[in-house]
Amino acid sequence: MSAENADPFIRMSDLTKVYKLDAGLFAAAGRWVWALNGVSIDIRRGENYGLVGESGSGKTTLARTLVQLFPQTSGRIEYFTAGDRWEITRSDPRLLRRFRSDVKYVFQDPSSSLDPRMDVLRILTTGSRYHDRSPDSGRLVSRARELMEAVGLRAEDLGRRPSEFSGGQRQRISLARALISSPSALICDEVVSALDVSIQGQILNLLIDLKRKFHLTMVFIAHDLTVVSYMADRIGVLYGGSLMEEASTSALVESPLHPYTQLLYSAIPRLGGKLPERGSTSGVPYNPTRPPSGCPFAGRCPLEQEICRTVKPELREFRPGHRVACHFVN
Amino acid sequence: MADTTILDVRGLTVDFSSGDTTLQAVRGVGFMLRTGECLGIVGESGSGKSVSALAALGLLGKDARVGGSIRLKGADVRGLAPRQLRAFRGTVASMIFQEPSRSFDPISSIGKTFQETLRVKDPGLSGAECQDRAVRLLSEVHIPRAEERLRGFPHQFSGGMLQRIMIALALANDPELLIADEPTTALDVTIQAEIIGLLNELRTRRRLSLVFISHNLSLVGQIADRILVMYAGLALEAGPTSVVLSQPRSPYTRALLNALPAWGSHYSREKLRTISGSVPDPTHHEPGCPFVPRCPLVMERCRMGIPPMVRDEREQQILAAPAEEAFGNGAYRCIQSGVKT
Repeated sequence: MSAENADPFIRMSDLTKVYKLDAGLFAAAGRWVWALNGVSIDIRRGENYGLVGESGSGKTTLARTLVQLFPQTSGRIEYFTAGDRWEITRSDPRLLRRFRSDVKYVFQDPSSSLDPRMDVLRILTTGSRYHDRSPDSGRLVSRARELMEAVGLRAEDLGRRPSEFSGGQRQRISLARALISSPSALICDEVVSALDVSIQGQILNLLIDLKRKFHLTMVFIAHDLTVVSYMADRIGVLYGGSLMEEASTSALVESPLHPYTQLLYSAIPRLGGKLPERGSTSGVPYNPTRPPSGCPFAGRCPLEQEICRTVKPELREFRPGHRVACHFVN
Repeated sequence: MADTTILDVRGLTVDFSSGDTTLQAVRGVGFMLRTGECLGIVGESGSGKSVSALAALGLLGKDARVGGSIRLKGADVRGLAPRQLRAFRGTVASMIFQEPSRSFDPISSIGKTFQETLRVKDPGLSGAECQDRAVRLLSEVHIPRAEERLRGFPHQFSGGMLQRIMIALALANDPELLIADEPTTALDVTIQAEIIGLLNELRTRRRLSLVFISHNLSLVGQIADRILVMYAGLALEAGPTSVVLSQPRSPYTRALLNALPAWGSHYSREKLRTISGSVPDPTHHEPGCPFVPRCPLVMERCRMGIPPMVRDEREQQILAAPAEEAFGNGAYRCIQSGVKT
């Protein structure tokens, strides 16, 4: 597949995001959350890029910064399209609009991301009214009907409201909404984790069908390493707002190198698998309210040494395409 | 037999009514748990797994109509007066839930919550005695610096930490049975592994009996001795963990096992064998096997009536069946699967 060729689509360079901890009138001065600490990732055109990490690892912040739901604190996002390279900033609203109709974000919880008062047709088409310069309503409706079928729903259901659908069906509606502007990429943020086991598989299969049908690039975010490794061509492992390891899925599945990836791997409940030994999963987790220093995983790492607490390890390439941020992996 | 039965549930039914609609949440489920054993109850949302557990401890509200027999340590739970039932809870059996952060009173310190719980059994306990007991309980669940933690409030703890505190609280009055309802679902995988490890440890150390409820079959496989698979308020399969996971007899169990990617599988090589459709509407149960609309083996006979739970002939050696529905032996509810697989 196109995963092997390195045609870039989105390049994130040294992205950081620092949030103010308390917002509002009574905000305590000077309390911050370091959510992203210099993440560089290339998303290649046509690939499925998987992002995995525990809660608080920064995966959602990264995805939302990528589509500029909020601006990054520092770093750069470049967008490659039609032979050109653009830097995405909020100061260029026209470019931003074009980028956002080409790269669509799909939310985790379909019941809270669909407006309950709108019928499905309005849900699907509202966004396009802002993106297209001359929205042709007839064309939009036929596109909406076509997409309903593509996601496995019936075109007749366009008049119904979200509450009349099950969770899995609502996630299908979210996908149809994302696809209405004919994007090149979908950013899928934990899109199956709120669904029943039997429904999760249906949505994963649907995503693959849609990817093939519409030639989509996908960023697939989940906390479940098994699901990510099924869905992704390449995987980035995030912890404490930093990229700990990045490799092709087969390399990561066969030989995870970073101690954190190995920990995630050992914690997967597997049929007939053994539990990790007690203590191996504990330790002091990354504290995002302290200015980062050293390796974010140091407090939980079995290989931890003095240097890990003071010097942040660089991402180094161990094998072609397999990058690891650790002082002691060899 | 040296083994004693701590929980014996037979023919359990639970209905909820509102207006003219009746929701049949549980439609005749039986299971049995021996002291020190772990029973895993697996099912998707709406399968009736949580409601069965709540019914077992008499925790359902007035709007629930419960039928069947529930014996907890020999006592008939349905016949107990509210006060007797309260005395049972915490001391004989206790329960932990999915979201630990919602199970705590946000304005009580952890220490105060322990005090309240400990005084249910021993109203005369002094503050210092409560503190001592709480510290011991917290160290049993591996919470460091316990004295200091007792002064903390729920919002100051992570989800994994709170779930461990919840477990310590549930154990405060030395129950013999713990029911854990999706205790790790809201937690990260690494924390989940930690909690499962802790529960396993407590089982051995305290000879605690455990009912572990989850939608995740492989997770249940890591802790349960026996598994009960529920669907639409019915048990569809039951048996020893290794048998249910490696040679499932019910098409539903098989479908559940196949529905999610296996480690090492990849979309470019294989499509997931998913279960089409969705779980049935609990207010409108069709006659017949509830899995009919989604089942690959379906035949006309399957629609005629709910198939009975039949014993798995491979389990002959361990058969000592007290009742057809009583859980403890390999059994499944399918008229197709038994013929040939």
